Amino acid sequence: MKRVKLLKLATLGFAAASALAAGVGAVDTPPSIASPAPSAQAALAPQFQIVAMRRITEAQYRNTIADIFGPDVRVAGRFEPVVRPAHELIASGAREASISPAGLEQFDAMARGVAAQVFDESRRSQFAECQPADATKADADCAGKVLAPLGRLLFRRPLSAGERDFYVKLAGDSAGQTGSFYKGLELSLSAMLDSPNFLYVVETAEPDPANPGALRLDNYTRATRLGFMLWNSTPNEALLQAAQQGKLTDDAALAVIAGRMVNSPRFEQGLRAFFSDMLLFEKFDELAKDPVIYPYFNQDVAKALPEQTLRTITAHLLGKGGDYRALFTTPNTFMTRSLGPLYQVPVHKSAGWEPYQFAAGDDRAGLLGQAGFLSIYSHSGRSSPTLRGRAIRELLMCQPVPNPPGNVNFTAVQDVHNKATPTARSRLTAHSTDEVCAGCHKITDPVGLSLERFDGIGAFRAAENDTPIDSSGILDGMHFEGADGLGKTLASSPDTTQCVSSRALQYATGLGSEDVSPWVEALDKQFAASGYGIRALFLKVATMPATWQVKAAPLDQGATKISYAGQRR
Amino acid sequence: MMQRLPAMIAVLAMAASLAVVPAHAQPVDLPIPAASTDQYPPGVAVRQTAKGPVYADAQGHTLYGMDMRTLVRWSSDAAQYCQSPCAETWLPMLAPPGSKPNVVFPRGFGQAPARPAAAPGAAAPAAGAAPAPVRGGFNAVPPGFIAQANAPDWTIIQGPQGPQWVYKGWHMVYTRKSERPGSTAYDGADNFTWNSLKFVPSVPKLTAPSSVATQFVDGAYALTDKSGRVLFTGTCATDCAGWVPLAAPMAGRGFGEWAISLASDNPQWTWRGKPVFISQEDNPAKAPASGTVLRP
Amino acid sequence: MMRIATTTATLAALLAIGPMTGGRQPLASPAEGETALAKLPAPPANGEMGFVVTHFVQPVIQGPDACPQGTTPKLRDAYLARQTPEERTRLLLKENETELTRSWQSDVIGPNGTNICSQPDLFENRTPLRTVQSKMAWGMDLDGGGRGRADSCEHETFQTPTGDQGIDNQEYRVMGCTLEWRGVDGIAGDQEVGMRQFMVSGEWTQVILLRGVNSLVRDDNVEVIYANTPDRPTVDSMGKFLPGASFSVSDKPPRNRNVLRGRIENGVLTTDATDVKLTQTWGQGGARDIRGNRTKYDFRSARLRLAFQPDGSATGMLAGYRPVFDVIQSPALGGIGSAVVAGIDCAATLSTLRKYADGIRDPKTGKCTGVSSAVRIQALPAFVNDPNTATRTAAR
Repeated sequence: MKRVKLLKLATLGFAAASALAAGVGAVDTPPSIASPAPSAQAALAPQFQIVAMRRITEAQYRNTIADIFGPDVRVAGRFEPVVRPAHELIASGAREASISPAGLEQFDAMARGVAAQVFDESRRSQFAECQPADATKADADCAGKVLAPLGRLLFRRPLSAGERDFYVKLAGDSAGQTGSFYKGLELSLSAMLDSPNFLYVVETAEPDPANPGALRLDNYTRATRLGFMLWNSTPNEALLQAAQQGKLTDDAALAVIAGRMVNSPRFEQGLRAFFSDMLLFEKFDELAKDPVIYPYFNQDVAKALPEQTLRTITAHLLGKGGDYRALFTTPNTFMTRSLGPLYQVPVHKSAGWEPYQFAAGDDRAGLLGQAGFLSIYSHSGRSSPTLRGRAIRELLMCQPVPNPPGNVNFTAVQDVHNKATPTARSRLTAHSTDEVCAGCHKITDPVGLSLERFDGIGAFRAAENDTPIDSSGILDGMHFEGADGLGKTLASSPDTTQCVSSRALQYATGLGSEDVSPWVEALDKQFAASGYGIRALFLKVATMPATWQVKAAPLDQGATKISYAGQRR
Repeated sequence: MMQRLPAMIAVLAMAASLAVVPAHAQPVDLPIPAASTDQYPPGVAVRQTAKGPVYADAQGHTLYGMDMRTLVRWSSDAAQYCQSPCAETWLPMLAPPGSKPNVVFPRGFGQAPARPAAAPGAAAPAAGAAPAPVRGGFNAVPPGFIAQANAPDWTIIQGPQGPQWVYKGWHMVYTRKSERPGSTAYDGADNFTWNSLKFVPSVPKLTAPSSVATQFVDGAYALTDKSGRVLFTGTCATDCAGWVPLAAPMAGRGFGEWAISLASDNPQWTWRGKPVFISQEDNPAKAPASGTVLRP
Repeated sequence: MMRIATTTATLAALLAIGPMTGGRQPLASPAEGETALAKLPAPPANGEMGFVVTHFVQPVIQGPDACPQGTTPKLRDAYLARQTPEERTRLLLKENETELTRSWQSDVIGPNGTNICSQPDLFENRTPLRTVQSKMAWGMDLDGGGRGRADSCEHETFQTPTGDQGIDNQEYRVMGCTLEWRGVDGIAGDQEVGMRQFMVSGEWTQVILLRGVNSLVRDDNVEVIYANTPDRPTVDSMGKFLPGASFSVSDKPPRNRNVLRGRIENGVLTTDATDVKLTQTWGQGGARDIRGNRTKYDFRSARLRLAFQPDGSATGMLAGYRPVFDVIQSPALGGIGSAVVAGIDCAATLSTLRKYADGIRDPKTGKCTGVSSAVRIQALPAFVNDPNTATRTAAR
């Protein structure tokens, strides 16, 4: 289990400012925040302590910029991804994420691009409520009026006086050098966007009055968590005001606010992010198939596959308020022209998506009958019952499967042209005679073989190498037939609902599965009581005390695990 | 030479009340663009017809544009096409005597430069002059003439019967002999060589967020997003999935008639105090039943 | 810039005039493609069958007897052929190449910037094209034996290699000895590949929707929608069409929607004669010439014949009369480039087509203004949406 280490804010403030200065490289001397910064520390009461830092994801960065500066401000650049820990969510990896020097360069380039657009001539009047006395010179008063509100939105809390002074001075220094007040603002804004206070969610805690000696996350941290957890974006004005008014540490007020959030259309964006994380959708970014073996696969198909799954999920869980378990059996999905040929179904609209319902008894029912799942858990030229079975175990049932040993001989499973083993089932049977392999394959293959009537891109097939495919499967002693049978079996398994309950809590807190395990059973019961409604699950997660509690560790124990621009803090 | 529309307000009011969609009555493959200004030649008026408002002559005859781009089979200089027998049925709308042409039908690949515009009455170059060698590019325009791509609404070309008005660079202006005023019977004739000149009000000048544009929809301009989906306002009671707010910057301040509302979950533009939404209908020109399309 | 323009014009001209013979994947003729009854696919449950057309090319029969004198000479060669042997020898000397070029090109440029392809009607008395001399051609009997009816003109007929008599295909008679159609015997393919590119690119996508199909053995009343769609076809990485894609019919220019009536007999659909218009945009011409946006295949009194194949595909033929100018539409739009680069004599082609015209009689003049024509078709199963219903023929 990871230990949450604490760091005093003053330490971070100095570190962040230094890194920031190094990152933007536009001031001659180190920023003054370090030395004359009593105000920086005074801004937040000393009892506020940093308990975690979680890097925001690419989607969160983009959504934040769009929300704050408008969707027409472009974010151009490559994001250094947050690394997913084995068997965990990216949201948990974010807690451990560092930024490499190269990654920081990318962030800096993006920051400069965004800042240049915000203060270009066409937009500056939108974001500057005052005009400088002389546009060729610094104007500290006006700069402060412009930068402080931006800082509040970007750092998701009010700037400390020291921070405000620092960014105003940065703008002033740059205005002096460039002969442009607005260039000064631009540089200062890009420095904010480079700051760890923006790139990371800096979670701070305060003493918990209900539990003397213990800590609870403070109001602004809660606002940020709610924003990213439920809408995958920065907290909006209502959340920031609620934080300012202390409402988010009031259980009743928190429940009202969180209730509104899960019922908002914006929750769809949050739910998409959650399932993209839970179902490892980053795999779609590197999806590649052999075009000779799979002529129906192309880039349009690759782009449409994750979208089809997300539309199925959100339409069922949000549009219909459906039971989570029915995601494994629902015949309802969405089609677009690029997917129609792969599924061999008609698509009426020339552009965009339209609802589609598979016929009763069709093997396509549920998420596991969709080409998205089937193709990412396949090889580039053949299906893989093992990968599919493992993904079902790990992603949907939260049952980690060990990696194969390094010295495995895969010849038997890879030889798809061997007439003696024409089907994947026969090849895997041959492969599993090796006892070293058999142990794990018993866990995965009987599950994955039920999906063999779908090839490596998820297209239907009745036979492989002219041999009819046996799509019987076994999961935890239950025998079933095909994807339809698998879906029904999963829908009836308590492991699936416990798994999504655990993932939701991990997603909210950034903790690992072991960390949240004490609360999962109770959460799953409440999930069941709601009829397995996803809104109810996330509302429960957003309002349960465990989400906001902090496991205290000794103070002053040195740096956190965060490293920034290669500097360990 | 040009005159300002005498009763612009009246005409605009008339246009706004139209149920038809003039833009849709254009040749669907290559619609004639809307006028850029509200100025046009003397003697031209806007007249209502059963198919919407058109430009007409002083007697109310519909003006037709002869699309020169459809006539290359018959003449290397399509501006000279309408002679006998065409001139027996089509009457050119001539520019005032002495007018100097400012457009020519561009030369094609391998052709000699178009001859300079002759002053009215000047002798045409001798027929049968030696052809130029095969050189030169497509669509070259001689010095002193306006390229069609840059042409203003109304220009003058040397036609068979003298300097003649041209609309939008390509459409030589004619009326149909013996056609009654208000008729548009020859619209699209000869595979869209002849097209009535529909009156479409000039695009309104707008101060709006950069994500907002305008389009001519159902007889009047409407606000749209950049992809052409109409913007609308209203109050949604049920089934609000199609009510997507026009996203505004949280940090923005608004301007003019545009303000930013932070009251709802999304930062949203308001226009004249009303929340603005983007149509999600299959037809991007339509708003949901309980919404009202925003028009400048 | 000029170089590109020239190349474009040449390609357009080459592609436009028509396909060469055979192709890399020779198309089965309707007769060859007819399927044994036992192997016919089952009739569709909902009476609808959808197809996307993958091949749409004029068929050419190869062999030495079709054009015993060889293909029609190109403009340069035709000019040389008119010279005395001595003069021809002199002009062919390397040092006289510029003179030769200037001489033959001056032959194709007229007064006031006109040229033989942009304004072919203005160039008269050209040497007619060499025509097909054999008796063999693919096509259909459109007029009951070539004797000429009220709406057609008397002419010679062909027979098909499979024995059908009275075949009308005057387009093939005139164009069948051009290099663009015939190619070099035995090495055909470029033209067909070029024509296919228009289909693969989605520029001309055609779909066929059959409604009311109760039997593939015999059904006396089938509605046939033969239409264009703006939807691009689904193809694999090699440009091969894939079955099972969806398309929506459009009737907005430049697309077309034709409604035909037909009957099915022993796995072959035949429609009644009617006019059929299909997209054939050529595009070239630049800003000063937009005719290429509006050109189309215009088959008058046309019939469609489709043979259903065991794999669900269909092969067949569309035959009817085409206005003569349509046959040279593309090189005409290509303008002077078609003449001086591709060497095509548009005026001679047009006058030869007029000479052999056998249909579309002008009631005023009594002259025929169109030529009989045949196009071979191959089609794959597809879902065709017209406008709000869909077929399920491609479903597994």
